[in-house]
Amino acid sequence: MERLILMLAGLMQVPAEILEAARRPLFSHRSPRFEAFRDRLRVRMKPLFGTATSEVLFMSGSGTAAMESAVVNLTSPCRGLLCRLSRWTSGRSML
Amino acid sequence: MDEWQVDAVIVGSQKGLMLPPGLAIVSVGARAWERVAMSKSPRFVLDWEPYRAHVPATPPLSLMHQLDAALDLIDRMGAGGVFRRREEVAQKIRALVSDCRLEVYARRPGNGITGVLVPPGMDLDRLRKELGTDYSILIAGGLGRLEGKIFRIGHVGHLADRELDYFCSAFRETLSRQAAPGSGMPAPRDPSIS
Repeated sequence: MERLILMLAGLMQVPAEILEAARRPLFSHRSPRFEAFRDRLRVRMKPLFGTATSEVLFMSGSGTAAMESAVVNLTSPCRGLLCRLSRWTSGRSML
Repeated sequence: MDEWQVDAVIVGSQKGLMLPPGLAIVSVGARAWERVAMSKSPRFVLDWEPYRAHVPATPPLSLMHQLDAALDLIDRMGAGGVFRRREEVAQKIRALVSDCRLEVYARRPGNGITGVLVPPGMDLDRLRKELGTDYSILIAGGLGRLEGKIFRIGHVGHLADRELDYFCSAFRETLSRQAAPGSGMPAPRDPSIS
């Protein structure tokens, strides 16, 4: 299949070694093995977030799902919300 | 987060982390957890609390394997190395834009994506189509009020030198084809003449 060079705003070039990692074996997510794997990734992600104390969570979904999760977990209906409309995506989510 | 006192950060996998789309990552600090306990918004699969100790929904395991590999790559480059590389690529793209007598949209452009103003006479649809069909390169258009006014060249992900060089020559060639006399479009400068 034709390989495209992605220079879009969202999908990016995925290096070969990262593509290859998708072939690693699947195992039950209801297992100590998964929990150890997830916990190791949590620790590895912390320096990228510049944090020693925050908790890192992994969810299925796009960045938009992550954004909605922030809104529904941190705010309540009928309460004020200050939102910086800096980009098309931020404006879209607040409509 | 700690230094800037940021309480929560959200991330999609398909940008700087160089993964396919589908993995959402959030980092939640202590003050944000207090807010979570107070929040009355309805939520189910996006409810953060159960994710702390459990696995409430099927996780994207393959993407997590790929995140593991991406973190290996980032560790090898070092965080500083990753940012330096992004800056190097962005400078090359901005130099290309200027060489092609085009203008970067932002006054202070970031190193992840470069917005470029569409000059009078440019057929943006044709540019994007030809980059796609002739060179297999996809670039993005503008969104919202900037639709048709700018196009965007994304480079926040991993780009090897040969991919970057290939893009630069494809971009020049595609623009040159549009810059016929009388089109109003300036021709790119010849890179061999400095």
